[in-house]
Order: sequence, then C-alpha cells, then structure tokens
Amino acid sequence: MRFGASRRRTRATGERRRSFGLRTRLVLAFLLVAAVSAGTTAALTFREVRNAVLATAQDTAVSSFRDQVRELDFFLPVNTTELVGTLRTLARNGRPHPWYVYAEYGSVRASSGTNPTSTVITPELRRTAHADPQGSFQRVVKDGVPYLTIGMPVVFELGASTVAPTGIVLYAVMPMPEEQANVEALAAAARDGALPGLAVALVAALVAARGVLRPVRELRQAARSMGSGRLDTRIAVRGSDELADLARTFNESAGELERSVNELREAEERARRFASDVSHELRNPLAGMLAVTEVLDEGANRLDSDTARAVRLISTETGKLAVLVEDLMEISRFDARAAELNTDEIDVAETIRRTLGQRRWTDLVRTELPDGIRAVLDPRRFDVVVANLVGNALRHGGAPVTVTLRTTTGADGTAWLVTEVADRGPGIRPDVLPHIFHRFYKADAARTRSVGSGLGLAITLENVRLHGGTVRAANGPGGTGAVFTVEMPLRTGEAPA
Amino acid sequence: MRPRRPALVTLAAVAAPLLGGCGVPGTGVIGAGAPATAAVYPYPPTGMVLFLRSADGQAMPVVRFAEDAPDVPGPGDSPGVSTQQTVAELFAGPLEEERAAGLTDGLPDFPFEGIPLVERHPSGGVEVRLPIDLGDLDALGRRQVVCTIAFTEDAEGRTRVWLRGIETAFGPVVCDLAAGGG
Repeated sequence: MRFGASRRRTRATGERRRSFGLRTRLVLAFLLVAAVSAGTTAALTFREVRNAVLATAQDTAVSSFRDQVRELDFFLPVNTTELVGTLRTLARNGRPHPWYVYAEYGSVRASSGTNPTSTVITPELRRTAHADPQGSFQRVVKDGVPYLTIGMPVVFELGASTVAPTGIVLYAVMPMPEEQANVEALAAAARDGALPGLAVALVAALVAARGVLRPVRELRQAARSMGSGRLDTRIAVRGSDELADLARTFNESAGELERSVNELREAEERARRFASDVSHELRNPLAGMLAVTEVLDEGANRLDSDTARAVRLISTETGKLAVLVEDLMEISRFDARAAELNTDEIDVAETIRRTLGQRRWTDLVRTELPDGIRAVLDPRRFDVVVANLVGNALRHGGAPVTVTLRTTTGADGTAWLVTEVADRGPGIRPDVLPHIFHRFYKADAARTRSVGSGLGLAITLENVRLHGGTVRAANGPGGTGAVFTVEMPLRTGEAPA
Repeated sequence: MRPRRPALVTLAAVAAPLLGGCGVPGTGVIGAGAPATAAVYPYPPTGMVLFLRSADGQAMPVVRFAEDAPDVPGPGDSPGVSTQQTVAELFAGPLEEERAAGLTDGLPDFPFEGIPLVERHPSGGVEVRLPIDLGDLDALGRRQVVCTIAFTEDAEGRTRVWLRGIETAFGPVVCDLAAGGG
C-alpha cells in the first residue's frame, strides 16, 4: 500500500516535470515574448506600410480621375453614344493603372467596356455618389482581386458662381494587382523577418534554461548525496545571482548539519568509551573479589548462620556483577563495531544440543532439531543467542520451553536458518513488545532486581544482526506463551546481509 | 495541458493579424473630396435650363438651346428666354432625347389653353400664376418649378419666387439645389 502510493506519487511528479518542466516553461516564455514582440512589430510596420502604399495609389487615382473628368463636356441630357466615346477616352488614361469607367445618368447606363454595369461597384458606393455630390471611393475584394472603385458625381456651373449636379455619376474601377503584389511581398518580408527572431529567441531560451537548470541539478544531486549520509557534500558557488545565493546557503546549512552530527557522534563515542572503560576497570577488581568469594563460600559452613547467609549473598551478587560487566563489555564491543564474526561450518542441531547440555537444560527443554542442517556461522555467537533466548524463556516464561529448528528459502532464493524458542508462559504484554530488545528494559517495573543482567536480549539482537539476520518476539497463537524467532542466512558472509 | 492553452491562445491572437491580414483588405465607402466640375453645352446662361426628374426621384437639369438667346448675357440678367416660356416648356414635358435618358417632368398638365402668367411681386422677386391646383405638386415638383423659374430670372438662381395656383399660393421660395434628390 505504502509502496504503491509512493510509486504513484513519483510517477505523477515525474510526468509533470517531463511534460511541463522549468526548461519547457522558460523556452515557452521566451518564445512567447519573442513572438509577441516580433509579431507586433512586424504587424504594425506591415500595416503602416501597406496603408501608405494603398493610400498613395488611391489618392493618385482619385485626383487623376477628377482631373480628367474636369476636362470633359456634356450635353444635358446626355447623348448615350457620345457618352460611350467619352468613357473610352477616359479609360485609356487610367492612372496609376488602367481602369474601367462606368457612367449613370437617369436610366442611362454606359461603360468603356462591353458590359454597361459593373459587378464590382457596391450599392453603398452608388448610394453615396447619388445622395451626396462628393467624390468617394471604396476598396472591394472580388474573387481574391482587390479593386479600387471611385464614384465621382459630375457638377456644372449654372451661373458664374453656382454649381448644380448634372445627375451624371462616373465610376472608375481599377484593379490593383501591383499593390497586391507589393503588399504580399511586404507580408512575406515581415514573416521572414520574424522567424529568425524566433529562432534566436529559442537559442537564447535554451542557453538561459541551461544556466538555470545546471545549478538546480547540482543542488538536487548534492541534496540527495547528503541524504545518503555524505555530510561533507558541498556545491561550487558560481557568480553572484540568486542561484549562487541558494548554493551558498545550502553549503552553510550543510556545514552546520555536519558540525552538529559530528558533535553528536563524538558525544556518543565518549559515552561508549566511558562504558567500555568502566567495564574494563571493574573487571580486574571483580576477578579478585570472585577468587575471594570462592574461598569464603568454601568456609561458610564453619561460620554461624547469619554470617554465612551474608557471605553467600555477597558471593551471589559478586557473580551477578561479573556477568553484568562481561555483558557490558560485550555490548561495548558491538557499539564500537569491534565485534568480529569467526565463521565455521557446523551442524546446527549438534551445536544447539551442546549449548543446552553445557548449561544442564537438556531435561528442561523440548527440542525439535532435524539432523543434517549445516550452516556457516560463528559458533560462539550462535551459542550465546540460543543460550540467551532459552535462558530468558526459562526465567520469565512457563515450561515447557521448546526449541525448533528449520530452514526456509527467501524471496530472492537464499536459504535461511530459522530457530524458534517458544514457551507456554503468560506471554509478553503488547505494550512491552516493541521495547523487549532494548537495553536494561524491565518488563516488570516492580521487579527491579532481575536475575539477568538486562542486556541478554540486546546482546542477542546484536549477534543476530552481525550475521545479517533478524530476531523478533511475538506471542504464540491463542495467547499460549511467547515465541522468539531468529532468522539467519544459512551461509553467513556469502548471502547478502 | 491546462497552462499551455492560454499560451496557444495568445500565440494565435498574435499570429492571426500577421497571417490573416496579409493581402489588400476591402474598405467601406470613404469620402474623397469635391465632385468633378465639367463643362456643359450649351453654356447654361445662354440656354433654357429646365429641371426634370429621374426615375429615382432626383432633380435633373437639362439645358436646351434657346433660339433667340444672346451669346453673352449680362450679369444678373435673364438669359433672354422669358420665364413664361420656360415654365410652359417645363409643364409641356420632356423631349424625345430627354425621355430616352429616362427623364420625366412629374408635373400635372396644364388645362387646354392654360398658360402661366408672370409678374413682378411688390416686395421683390417674381410671382407666377399657374392654371393648376398647387396641391397636385409634390415637393420635388415644387422645387423643379421654383428652380426653373429662378434660373430663368437670373443666372445665379437667387430670385425669390411666389407661386399662385387656382386656389392656393405660397412664397417666397428660393431655389435650393443642395436639397439633393429629395
């Protein structure tokens, strides 16, 4: 469950980074800015130039048309035949490009071409030309070809200072192919100018993204390196930007962390050495005391009963003290990582039998020891493990104590040696279970004076760990006593720890 | 996917005017200054100027040759054709050539033997009596009559005109050519 969730999270963030990472965002932002600025500049320039080109052509055409119409003379009413001749003359003088000329007078429609009316001239232009005696023009795009259409009402002088509309409206229709070509060339030029700009922006964006992403990548690697325990990891600080500040801060934090951890380690080391030194210092006086108590024990029978009890008490307590000191020294060796494995290939069942026999427990303990299981392990330490667990079961659990031996195969194909020590006592209280392997942990707070040193299970745990194995405590099915299970690789030193 | 959409929209918004408006776009109708003044034959002050109408309701001036008109009229003078004659000609309707161009008079006909009478008005200007009911004239018809009279009376057409019909009369009116087609 937890594994699945973490994998899902990893995949989600991974996809997010790939699809829309810092690099993509930077490049997109650069491109967007470049596109907007290049596009806007190109579009504005293009529009201005286009309008100028078109305005020039239009102004020329309108004023030229007006000037040419001014040269004309008409009868009123207009003679249609003469009108067509006039229009043909006009059509030859189109400027800046040739144009078609159309005329409307009353119901007369005439043109310089074959068709008397134009399909290009819009009703709006006609309405404007008739309603208002003003020149006007309109640009019309028909079938992809732009036309300039000019409507020019004709007025005449009635008196010396009075003009009146003649009712004649002349139209010029001028295709603008040259302007269209110019404008299209202009648009192509604007586009071609903008594209290299975008390419340059892309290169700049990639360079900038690299400049930002490289420190970020270094930072990530450094953070991961620190997380895996290399506290001396530092980042090279380049430049003086925000990323350099970040790197500097990271280095300072890493330095602080390293200092704190070193202080803690030194304090721990000092405490450990102190425990070790104390045990060593206690060992020699204790050896002397043990020798003396043996002599006292032998002579206790000759003393009066009170004194004899006192002497035996001293003797017992001194023995316990010696065991405690031995255990302390053992655990100090583990803490100092001075404990070494001296492996040998042994018959496991035989070893366990010998362990029980040496301590005269053979009659107290039931065994299920299949013969022929051979393992590579440290015989002395395995002896300590079995003795501690059986001793613990005998002291705190209820008879009968059972030692079971078997082998299993792990998920990765390695063979494991499984040793179980079970008793039929009251079991272990659930609140005690997590702490049972802690040093000097007393399951029963009232029972301060334990028979053991309080280090037995801790030493067991260290010994099993040294073999690359695990030990766990549990309650048997149905509350039927405690079960300690030791799992060790069948071939210590060859199997992965 | 979500943050990419606004970027695309912006890009499209930028690209649209670039790619869309590449050619020559059309426009609306744009004013382009004064109309063209052309010469008319005969020179109006030496001819008979009548205001007819086109099918789409515009006043259309025609200039007819006046048989006994002087070649060069004096300033402010009548072109030599009498107002009575021009009004009679106007009500007589368009000639063949004018009809061919789609022009009509749009005026009621005079009754048999009916003639217009022209006299000076005491407060200045001219008063024309018409043998018709003025209610039969529409607005364009009145303008045709008034302008025809005014431009016959003087070359600039500024004479004030009184019209008197069978029952009604109105005036003074000044010819207003700027009223357009209305």
